[in-house]
Amino acid sequence: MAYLEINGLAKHYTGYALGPVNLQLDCGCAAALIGANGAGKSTLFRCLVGSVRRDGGTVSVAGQQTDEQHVLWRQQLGYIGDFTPFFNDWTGHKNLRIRSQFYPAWQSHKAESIAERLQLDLNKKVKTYSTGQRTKLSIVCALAHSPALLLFDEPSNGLDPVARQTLLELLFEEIEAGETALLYATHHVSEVEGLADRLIFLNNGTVTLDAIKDDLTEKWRHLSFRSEQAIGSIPYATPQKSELPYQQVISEDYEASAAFLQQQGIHDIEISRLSAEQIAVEILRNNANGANHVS
Amino acid sequence: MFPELLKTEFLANRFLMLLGLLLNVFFILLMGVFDDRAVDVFIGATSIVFYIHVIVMVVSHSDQKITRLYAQLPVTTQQIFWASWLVILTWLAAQTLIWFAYGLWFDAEFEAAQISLLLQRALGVLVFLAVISIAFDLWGCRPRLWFWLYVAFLAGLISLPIIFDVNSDRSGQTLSDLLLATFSMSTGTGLAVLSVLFVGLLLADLAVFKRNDSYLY
Amino acid sequence: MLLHISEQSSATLQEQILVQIRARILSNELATDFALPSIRGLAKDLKVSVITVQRAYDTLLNEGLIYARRGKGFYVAALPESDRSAVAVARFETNLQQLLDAARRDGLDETQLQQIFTRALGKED
Repeated sequence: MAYLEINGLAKHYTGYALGPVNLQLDCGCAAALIGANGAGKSTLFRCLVGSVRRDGGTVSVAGQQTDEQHVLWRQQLGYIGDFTPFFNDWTGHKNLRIRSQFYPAWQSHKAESIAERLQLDLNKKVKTYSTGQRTKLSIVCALAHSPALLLFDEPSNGLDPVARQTLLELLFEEIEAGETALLYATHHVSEVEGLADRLIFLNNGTVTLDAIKDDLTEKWRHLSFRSEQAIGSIPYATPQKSELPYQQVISEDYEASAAFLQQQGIHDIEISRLSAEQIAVEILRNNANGANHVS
Repeated sequence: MFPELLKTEFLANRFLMLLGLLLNVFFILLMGVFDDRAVDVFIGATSIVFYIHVIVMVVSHSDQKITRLYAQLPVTTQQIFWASWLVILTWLAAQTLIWFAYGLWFDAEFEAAQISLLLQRALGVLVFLAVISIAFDLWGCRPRLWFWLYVAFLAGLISLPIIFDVNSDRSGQTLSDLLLATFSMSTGTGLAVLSVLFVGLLLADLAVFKRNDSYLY
Repeated sequence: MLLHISEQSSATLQEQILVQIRARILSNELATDFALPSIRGLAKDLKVSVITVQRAYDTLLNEGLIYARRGKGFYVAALPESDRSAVAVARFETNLQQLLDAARRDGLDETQLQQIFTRALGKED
C-alpha cells in the first residue's frame, strides 16, 4: 500500500509556484528529497502536513485522505519541520506526556529509550534546551508512536555528529521494521546515502528527477583519458576542469560516452564510480545552469 | 481529541489564571483597609490587573492557536479555535464571579442593576478580545491586504468621531461616548446588543481562522 | 560481513555483491547456516539500493547457495563438499574459458598457455 500518495499538489505565491507534484512512497520506502535553496522542499512539507493551505491536489497518508475535517491521519505522521513548538516552562518529560495523550499508539518506553540514545536529558525544562536538544525532542516526538509516514525536513540541522548518526540509526530501524515510509529532505546527500533508496530532485517547485539510487550510481561515472586535442561535446558528458592532454568528464551515461570516445580512437579511458553526493551535486548544478540558459 | 486539547490548554494557562486569582484575593484583603467598600472601588482597584490580564490573554490566545497547529497535533483548526476561546471565557467568568461575590459580601448597596453592569462589562471585554483576535487571524489570510483593511477600518472607527467632533465643534459622539451610551443602555437592551455583537464577531473570527492560508508565524 | 565495492570496477554493484558473497560461501569462509545481513542492512553498509541487494540474494537463492527463513532472513545453505567443489569447478572453468579465448585472440599458442599455467601454479606454493 502507498503510505504517501501525492496527486497534483500545487501552491502558488507571487513569483513562485510549487507543483503540480505527484509522488508515491510505498511502505518501507526511504526517499531523499534534494533541491537547492528555494527549490520548494519546505513548502512541499508544509503543504503536506497542513500548516500551509494547498491550492490544489490531494494527499493521502496510509490510505486516508488528508483534509481539514479529518485529522486522525496525523496520528500516522511523524514530522520534523524547521521548528517544533514545545511548552518551554515544562520539562522534556512533561512535554512528552502531554503529547502522548493525542496518540493512542504512543509507547512511553520507546520515547525514553530514544531520548537516552540521543543523550537527551528529559528532566530539564525545555527552555534550557539548545537548538540541537530541541531537535532531539522533536525526534522523540516524531518516532514514539511508530507512525506510518515520516516527514523529516532537514532534521540534522544543529545536531552534533554523534546525534546525527544516532538519528540515522533510529530511522533505519523504523524502516527495517517495515511499517513506515520516509521522506527526508537534506542538503547533505552523503548523510542519507546508506538510508535512502530513492533520490527525488526538486527544482523550481517541480520534481525534475525521481530515481532509484543505484540506477543513478550505475550510470554516472567519472571518465578520464588522454588526448592531444580537446574533445568537444561528448554525449551525456559534462567537461571538468582539465589540462591537455589529460581530460576529465562526468558522464550521466558512461557507456554511451565511452563508446563515443572509442569511436574517436581513444581507448585508454579510466572510469570510476561517483558517490550519490557527487551525482546530486552534478544534477543540481545542471538544474541551475539549465535555469540560467532559459532566463 | 477535543478533551485532551482542552486539558492541555488549561494546563498551559493555569499559572496565569492562578496569578489572576491571587491578585484578586490580595485586593479583597486590601479593601479591608478602606472605609468605602463599594464594588465600584474594588473593580477600579483590580482593573489594572484585569487589563494587563486581557492583553496577555489575547496575545497568548492567538499564539496558542497557531502553536498547536504547528505542533501537528491530531486536532482540527475548529477544535483549536474553540479550546482557545473556552480558556478565555472561563477566565473571564471567574473574574466576573469574583466581582459578584465581592459585591454580595461587602457592598451593602449591591443590586440587580450592578449585576447587569458587571455582565455588560464582561461582554464588553469579550467584544474587544474578539475584535483583536480577528486582527491576529487576518494576518494569516491571503492577500495580506485584508489585514490592513481591517486595521484601517478599526482606526477609522476610533478616529473619525474625534475628527468629526473637532470640525463640528460639538461635544459628544466620540467612540468612547458611544461605548458609554451602550453601557448606560437599559439593562436588557445593553446586554442584548453586546451579546449579539460578540457572537457575530466570534463566528466571523472562526470563519477567518479556518480560511487562513498559513498557520506559521 | 565485510564486502568491498570497487570504485574502478566496471562490474555492476549487483555483480560485485553477488561475486563476493558467492566466493565466500564456496570457499567455506561463510559456514552453513551463517546468517547473512538483512537486505536493508547490507544496502545501508554498502550505500547501495535495497533492490540491488535483493537481486543479488535472489540469484544466490536460485543457485541454492542460500535459503530464506520467513521473517528471519537469509542463511547459507548446507552444501555437500562435492557440491561446493562442483560449483567451484564449473565457475573456474567458465572464467578460464573466457581468459583462454582472450589469450588465443591475442595470439598465444597452446604451449605458451601451458607454460603460463604451470608457472602460475608453481608460484602458489
